[in-house]
Amino acid sequence: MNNKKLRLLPVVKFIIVLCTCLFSLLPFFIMFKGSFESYNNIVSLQFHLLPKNASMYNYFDLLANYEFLRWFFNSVFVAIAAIAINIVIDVLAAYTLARMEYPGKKVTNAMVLFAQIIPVQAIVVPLYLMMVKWGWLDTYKGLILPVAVSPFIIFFLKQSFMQIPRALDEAAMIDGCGRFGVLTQIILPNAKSAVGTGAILKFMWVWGDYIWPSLVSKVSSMRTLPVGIAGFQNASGTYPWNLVMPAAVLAALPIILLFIFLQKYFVAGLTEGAVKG
Amino acid sequence: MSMEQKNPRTVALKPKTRNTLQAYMFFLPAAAFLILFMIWPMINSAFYSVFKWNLAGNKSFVGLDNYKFMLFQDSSFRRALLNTIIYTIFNMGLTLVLSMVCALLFQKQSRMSVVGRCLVFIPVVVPITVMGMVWKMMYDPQYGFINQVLSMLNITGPSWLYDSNIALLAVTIFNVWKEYGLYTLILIGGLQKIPQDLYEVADVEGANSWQKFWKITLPMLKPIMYFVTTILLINSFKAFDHIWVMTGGGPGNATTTVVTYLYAKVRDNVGLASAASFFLFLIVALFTFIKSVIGKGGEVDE
Repeated sequence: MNNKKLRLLPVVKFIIVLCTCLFSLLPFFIMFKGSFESYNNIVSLQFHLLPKNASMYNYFDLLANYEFLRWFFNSVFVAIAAIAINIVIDVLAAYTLARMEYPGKKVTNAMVLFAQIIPVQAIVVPLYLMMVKWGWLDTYKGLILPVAVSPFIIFFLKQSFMQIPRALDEAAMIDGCGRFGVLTQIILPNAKSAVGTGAILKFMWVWGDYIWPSLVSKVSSMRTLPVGIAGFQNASGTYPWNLVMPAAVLAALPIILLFIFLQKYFVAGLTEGAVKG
Repeated sequence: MSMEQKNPRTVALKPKTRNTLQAYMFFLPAAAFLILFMIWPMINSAFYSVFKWNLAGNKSFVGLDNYKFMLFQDSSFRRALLNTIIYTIFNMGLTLVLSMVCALLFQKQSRMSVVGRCLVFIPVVVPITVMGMVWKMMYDPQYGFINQVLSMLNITGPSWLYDSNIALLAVTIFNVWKEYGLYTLILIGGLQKIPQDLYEVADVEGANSWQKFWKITLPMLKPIMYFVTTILLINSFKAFDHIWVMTGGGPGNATTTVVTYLYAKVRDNVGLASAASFFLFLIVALFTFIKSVIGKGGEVDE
C-alpha cells in the first residue's frame, strides 16, 4: 500500500514533530535558564543558549528578601480551600440534578446552565464593589468564596453521575440506604475519576487565576503567586527578570508535576470542558 | 448489605415531601453561591451600567448614556472592540491551522505521538500570566531570545510589544502558543471517531493523502470544527490576563481589549466599566447560544 515516493515522508513528519515540541518547550527552557543568571547576564546583548555564571543566588534572594513564600502559601491555601468547598457543594448539587425529582427542578437546572454562560471577566466589577462594601478586600474569604462553586463542575459531575446505572441506587435503597447513603456508598465510589477531574480543574484554574485575586488583594501579603509575581513590575513597565524568572519556575513547577502524574484527568477535564462547558 | 440500621420514623412525613425537602437541602448551598457570586453580580452589572458613578460615591441615573458614550464617542472603546475582533480573527486562524497540523501528526497511537501530545499540552496547564511574563522577556527587542535568533539570521526583528503595529500580533502569537495544545487534543478526539473503512475505500480507489484530507477528514470533522471555532471565539473575546501583564493594553491603545478596558475603569468609572461588562456578557451569551444551536444540529447524540 505504501508508495515508494513516500519514503521521505516519515523524516519530514519527524522534523515537524520536533519543531512543534521545541516550540512548546522553548519558553520553559528560557525561563529556567534565566532563573540562574544575574540580571546583567539575562539582559546581555550577546546570544547565549546556556546560562552564564549559573548560580542559585536568585532563588535565595527571592525566598529570603521578598514575600514569595507567603504568596506561595496563599496560592496553595486558596486552591485547597476552594477545592474542598467546591467538591462538597458541587457533588451535592450534581447529585440532586442527576437523581432526584422535585418541583422546581427545571429552575435549578436552568440556574446552573445560565451561570455557566457568565464570563468571570463580566462580573468582576460588581463583585469587586460587593467586596468593598462587605469589607472583604485583603481577606481569604474574599479570595476563596467567590470561586468556591463552579457551575461547570456541577454540570460535569451531573453528566458522569447520570451514567451510573440507577438499578444500583434502587438496590441500595431496598437495603435501607437513605438518599445520602446512596450518594456516599454508590455514586461517589463509582464517580471517583470524575470528582478527581473536577478537583484538578479547579486547582488549575485557581492556581493560574489573575483577574479576581488581583482585584481583591491590595496588600502584598494577601497576594497569590500570579498577582505577586506580576507585582514585581516597576512603574516604567519593566520587570526585574532575576526575580521574575525563579518565581515563574516555582509557580509553574507544581502544576507541571501534577500534570505529569495525573495527565489523563487534566486532558479529560479540559477537553470535555471546552466542548461541553 | 445493610448500610444503615432502619431508623424509626420520628417525624411522619410523606415520602414524597421528604424527598422534595431533601432535594432542596442538597441544592441549597450551590444555589446560594451561584446566585450570590455569579447571577446577582451579573444582574448588578446591567443595573450599574445605567448610572454615572465613581467609587467616591456620586451616583446618578443616566439611562443608556454609558453605552452611547462607549460605542459612539469613546475612541478607546472602539479601539478595544476593533482590537478584540482582530485578536479573535488571528487567534482563531492561527490556532486552528496549528492544532490541525498537530492533531494529524499525533493522531495515530505511537510512542512519538503520546510524547508529542503530552508536550504540546504543558503550556495549557501553566499559569497564563507567568508564561506571559516569560514571553515578554523573549520579545524584548534587544536582549530577547526571538530577536537575537533573528539577528543571527541577519534579520532585524521588530520591537514586538513596543511597536504599536505589531504588539497585538505578538500577544496573539503568545496565546496561540499557550492554548493550541488543548485544541489539538480536542481535534484528535474528533479524528479518532472517523470510521477507518472510509480511508480504506479511498485507498482502494487510489486517493492520495491530500485528497483524503479534503474529501474525508475535513468533512467528517465538521461538527467538531464548529465547536472548536465557537469556543475559540468565546475565549478570544475574554482575553485579558496575558495582555495585562505583557503590555497593560499599550503601547497607547494598541492592545486594549474589551476586558482590559473595563478592568482599567473599575475604580474610577463604575458605570462605564459595568456597561462594558454587560456588553461582554451579551456577546458571550450570543456565541454560546450559536454554539448550542450548532451542537444540537450537527452532532449525532452519543
